[in-house]
Amino acid sequence: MADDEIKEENEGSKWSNYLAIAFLLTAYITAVVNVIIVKKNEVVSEAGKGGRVVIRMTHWQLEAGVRQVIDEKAREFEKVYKEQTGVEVKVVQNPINEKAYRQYVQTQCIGGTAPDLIQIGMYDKDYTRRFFRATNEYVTRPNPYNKGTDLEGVAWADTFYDGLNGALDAETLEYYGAGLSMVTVRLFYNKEILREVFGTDAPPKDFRQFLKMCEDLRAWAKKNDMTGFVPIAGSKYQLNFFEKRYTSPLTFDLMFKADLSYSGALDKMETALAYIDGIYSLDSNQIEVSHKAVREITKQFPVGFMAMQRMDAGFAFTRRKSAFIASGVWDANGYIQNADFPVGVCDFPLPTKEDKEFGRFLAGPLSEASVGISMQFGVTKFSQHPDIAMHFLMYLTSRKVNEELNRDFKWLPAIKGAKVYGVMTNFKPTSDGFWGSDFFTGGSYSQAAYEQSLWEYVEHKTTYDQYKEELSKNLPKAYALDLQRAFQTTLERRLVLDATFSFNLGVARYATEWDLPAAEGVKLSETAKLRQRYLWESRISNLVEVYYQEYFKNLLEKGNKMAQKVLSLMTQNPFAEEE
Amino acid sequence: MPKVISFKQIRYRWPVYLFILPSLFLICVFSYYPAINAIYHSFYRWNGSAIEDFIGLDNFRDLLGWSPTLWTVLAVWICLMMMALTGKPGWAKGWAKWALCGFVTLVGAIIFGAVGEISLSSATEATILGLSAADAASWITVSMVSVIGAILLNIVWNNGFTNAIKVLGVVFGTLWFFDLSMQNTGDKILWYGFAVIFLLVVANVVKMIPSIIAAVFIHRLKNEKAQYIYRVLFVVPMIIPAMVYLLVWKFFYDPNQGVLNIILYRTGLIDLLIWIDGIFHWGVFVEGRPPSWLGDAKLVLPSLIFWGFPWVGVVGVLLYLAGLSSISEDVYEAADLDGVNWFQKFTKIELPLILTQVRINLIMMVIATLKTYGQILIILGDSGGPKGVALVPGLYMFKNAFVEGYAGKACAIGLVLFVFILILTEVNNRYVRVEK
Repeated sequence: MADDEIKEENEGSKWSNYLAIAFLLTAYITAVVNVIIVKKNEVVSEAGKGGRVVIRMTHWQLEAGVRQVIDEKAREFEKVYKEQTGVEVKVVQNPINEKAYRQYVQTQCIGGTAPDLIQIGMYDKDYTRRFFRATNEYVTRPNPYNKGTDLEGVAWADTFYDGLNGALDAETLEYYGAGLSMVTVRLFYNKEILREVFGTDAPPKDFRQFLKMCEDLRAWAKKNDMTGFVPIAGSKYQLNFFEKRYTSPLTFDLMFKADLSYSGALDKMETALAYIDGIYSLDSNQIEVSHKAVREITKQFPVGFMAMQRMDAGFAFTRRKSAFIASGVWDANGYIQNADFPVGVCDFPLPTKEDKEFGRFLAGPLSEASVGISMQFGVTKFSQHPDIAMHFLMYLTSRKVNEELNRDFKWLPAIKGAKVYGVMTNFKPTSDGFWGSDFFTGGSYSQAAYEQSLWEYVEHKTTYDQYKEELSKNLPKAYALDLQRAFQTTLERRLVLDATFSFNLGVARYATEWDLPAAEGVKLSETAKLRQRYLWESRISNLVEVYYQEYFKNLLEKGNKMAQKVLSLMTQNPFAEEE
Repeated sequence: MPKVISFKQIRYRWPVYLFILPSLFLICVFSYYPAINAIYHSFYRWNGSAIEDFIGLDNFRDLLGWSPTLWTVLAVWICLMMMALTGKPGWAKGWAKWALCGFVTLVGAIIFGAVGEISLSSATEATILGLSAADAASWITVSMVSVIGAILLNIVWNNGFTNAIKVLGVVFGTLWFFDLSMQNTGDKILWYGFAVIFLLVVANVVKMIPSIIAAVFIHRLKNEKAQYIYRVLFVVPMIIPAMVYLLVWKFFYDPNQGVLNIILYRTGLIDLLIWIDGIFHWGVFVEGRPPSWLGDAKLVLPSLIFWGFPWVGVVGVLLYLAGLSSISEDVYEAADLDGVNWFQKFTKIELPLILTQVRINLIMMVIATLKTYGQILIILGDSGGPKGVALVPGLYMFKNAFVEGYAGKACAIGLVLFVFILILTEVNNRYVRVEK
C-alpha cells in the first residue's frame, strides 16, 4: 500500500474516531445536564425555607386511570398546600408492577431508600412495623380537608367506612396509614353478545343457568366459526375469584368445624390441624363438590389458562373472544374503556338450594360485610417530610376528593357519605350471606402443594381421584413445614406483645410522674390504660395460637398417626426447647 | 511471568496500587460483601429484615437432609472429588488420603448427622448417649460401607482409567447423591430442581452446536461484504430487549393463538402426535384439545428445551467467529494441498482451534443455566408451573427469599448452588482441555 493511501486511511479513521468521541461526549453531557435539571426540580430543600419538597409515592395499581387520577389530585394538593402553608410541594408517583412490588419494597426498605408513601401489602406485616411510621396521632384528630362538611370535627379514623380498622395493627395497637378505596369482585359480561345469542342482556341467575349459557355460547361460536372464542376469559388470576366464590359457600359446614378459634375464618394452623385431626380430608363430600363446581367453570376457560396472565384474559374479553370475565372493581375502568361494547356487571351466580348436586351443601351467598378498605398507603420512616406526606394522604381521603378520585378511576369510595356513581353501584358490598374461608390458603407450603396439584385438575387433565392422590402425598410434609414455622412465629409474636404490654403498663403507671406538663402526663397515662384493654385482646388471640400448639400435642399424646407423621416430617422439632 | 514486587518496593510502586484501588473497592463492595453477607446469613433464620436468629447449620440440614447417610456419602464424595480434581499434590497420596477420607467422613457425620439426630430424636424417643440404637447402627453401617466403597473406587481410580471415566464417576456419584436425597428427608424440591437443571445443562450443550455450525458457515463465506452483513445481522438481535424475546416465545407457545399450534394443525402434524400419544399414552396430545405447551406438566420441560430454536446464540456465534478469524489462511492452504475435504477442515482445523471459545462459552452456559430463574418466573410464576415441574434452584431461592420470607434459607440455597457451580466449573477447566 502506498504511503499516501495509508496516510489517507489514517486520517479517515482519525476523523471517525473524533466523531465517535464527540458523539459520546454529547450523550454524556446531555445525561449529566438532564440529571442536574431533574435533581434541581425534585430534590429537596428543607420545607418552610423556600425550597420545594418532593413527596414520592409507590404503589402497584397499574390499572387504567389510577395513575392519571392520582396525578390530577396530586397537582390539586400541591396548590392547596402552597396556599395554606406557603410550602411548595411536588408529588411524584412511582408505580411498580405487582409481580416485582414485594421485592422492590423489601429491598428499598432494607436499603433505607424507600419513598415517603408506600402502598401497604404484599409483604410481611413485620415490614410495616419496622419501616413505617405509626400514625396514631393523626387518626384521632379531624381531617382538615373535610372542613365545611358534616365530617368537620370528626376524628379522621371515624370518617372511614371501617373506622380505619384495616390500618390498625392489632398486636402493637398502632395505626399505619389509611386506605383510599373499597374493593369487591364481580362477574363482567358482554351485553352485546348476550343480546345476540339469548335475545336479552340479562345476566345468569344461578349456577346451572350460567353453565347452560356458557354451553350455548360455545355452540353459537362454533356455528359462526369464531376461532378462539371461549365463554369465560380466564387465567390463573381469574381462577382465584371463582375458587373463593364457589368453594367457601359449599364448605361452610366443614369450615365451622375446623374453625377452632371461632373467628369466622380459617388460618393456616387451623386448616393444618383440621387435616391432621381428620375434621376435613380430600374425601369429604363438601371438598370434592366444591372442587367440582370450580372445575365446571374452568371447563369454559381457554385451554392452558393456568399459564396465562391476567392481562391475557382481560385482552380476550375486551376483544370479544369471551363473553364473561371475573375480576375486581380495580379492572372495571380498564374493561369499560377498552371494550367497544356495553359491559354489564353482576354477582357470581350460585347454585340454588334445589340443585341436586350442590344444593344440599350450599350455606348461602358469601357475605361482603367484612370487606375492608384497600389501596392503603403508609408513611415510611425514611420520609424527610412525614407530616406533608400524611397531609397528602388526608387530602386524598377527604370526602370530596375521595369521591372524585373513586368516581374517576371507578372504584368504591372509602369515606362515609361519598357517592357511588353509575356502574359502580353493582360493586357495593352485600352484607347478606355467610362468611366463609378457603381450606388451602394461608400456609405457604400447603398453598404451593395445593396449587401445583390443582393446575392439571382444573385444566381437566386429571380426575379428582388423581388430584386427591397426588395432593394427599404432599400435604403432610407441607403441613409439617407450615406448622413448624407457625409455632416459631407464635413465640415471636408473644414476645412482641409482651414487650408492648410492658411498655404500656409502664406508661400507664408512671407517665404522671415524668418530667412533663401535668395535663400531658395524665393524657399519656389514660391513653396507655385504654390501649391495655385492646392489648389484652391481642394477647388472648395469641393464646389461641398457643392453644393450637397444645391441640397438636394433644393429638400426639392420643396417638394420632397423622400427627406423628407430620412431626416426623418437620425439619426441626418445635417442642425441643420447651422440653 | 509477572514480576514479583517485594514489600520493600511497594513504597516506590504505590501509584500502581493506587490505580487498582477504586476497582478493588468496587469489587469488594458489590461482589465480595454481598457474598460474605450471604454466607453469614445462611447460618441464621432470617426474614430479610427484623427476625435474625442464629441457628447454626439448620438451614443446610433442612436442604440436604438430617440423615447421617447423606452427610456421610456427601463427605466421602467431596473427599474423592477433591482428590480427583487436585490430582497430584503430595498430601492426597498414600496414607494421608485415607486419613483425610476418614477425617472428613467423621467430621461430616458428627457435625451434620449427630447434632440433627440428637435434637430430633431426644424429643420423640428414648436415647442412649444422645443417640438411638437404630441411629447408631445406621451410622456405623453407612460409614463402613462408604469407606469400603471409597477404597474400592480409589483402587479403580488409580488403575488406568481415563479422565472421561473420572468425570463420569463424579457425575454419576452426584446423581446417586440426588437419588438418595430424593428418597430421604432433605429438601426434595431443591434436589428435584437440580435434576431439572442437570437436564437443561445437557440440553444446552447440544444447543451450542448450531451456533458453532453457523459461525463456521459465516467464516467460510468467500465474499467479505456478505460476511460483514451476516455479522451485523447477528449483532442486531442483541439490542432487542430480553423481555420482548421472551414474550415472542410465550406467544409462540400460546395454546389458542400461538404459532406452534397453528403450524401443527395446518400441517396435520397434530394427528401424527395424537397417534404417537395413543401408543405411548402420554396424555398430552388429545383430539379436540390443543396442546398447552406451558400449562401441561409433561410439556413444560420439552418446551423450555425447545425454547430459542434453532438455538443460534448471538454471543456464541460472535465468540466463535472471533476464534475462527484468527486461523491463518496458510493453514487452509496447507489443508487444501493435503486434500482435506470440507468436513475434515471442520473437525481437524476449525473445531480444535476454537475450543478455547467453546470452553469459555461452556463455562458461561453452565453458570447461566445453574443460576437461571428469571425466564421461568415470568412465564410460569413463582410456583414453577404445573406440579412445580420447572422449580429450578434459582427460582426456589428467589421464592424462599421474597415469597416465603426465608431469606436465610435462600442464602443457604445460594451457597449450595455456588458449590455446584464451582465443582462444574472446575471439572470443565480440568477436563475440557484445549490441545492445539
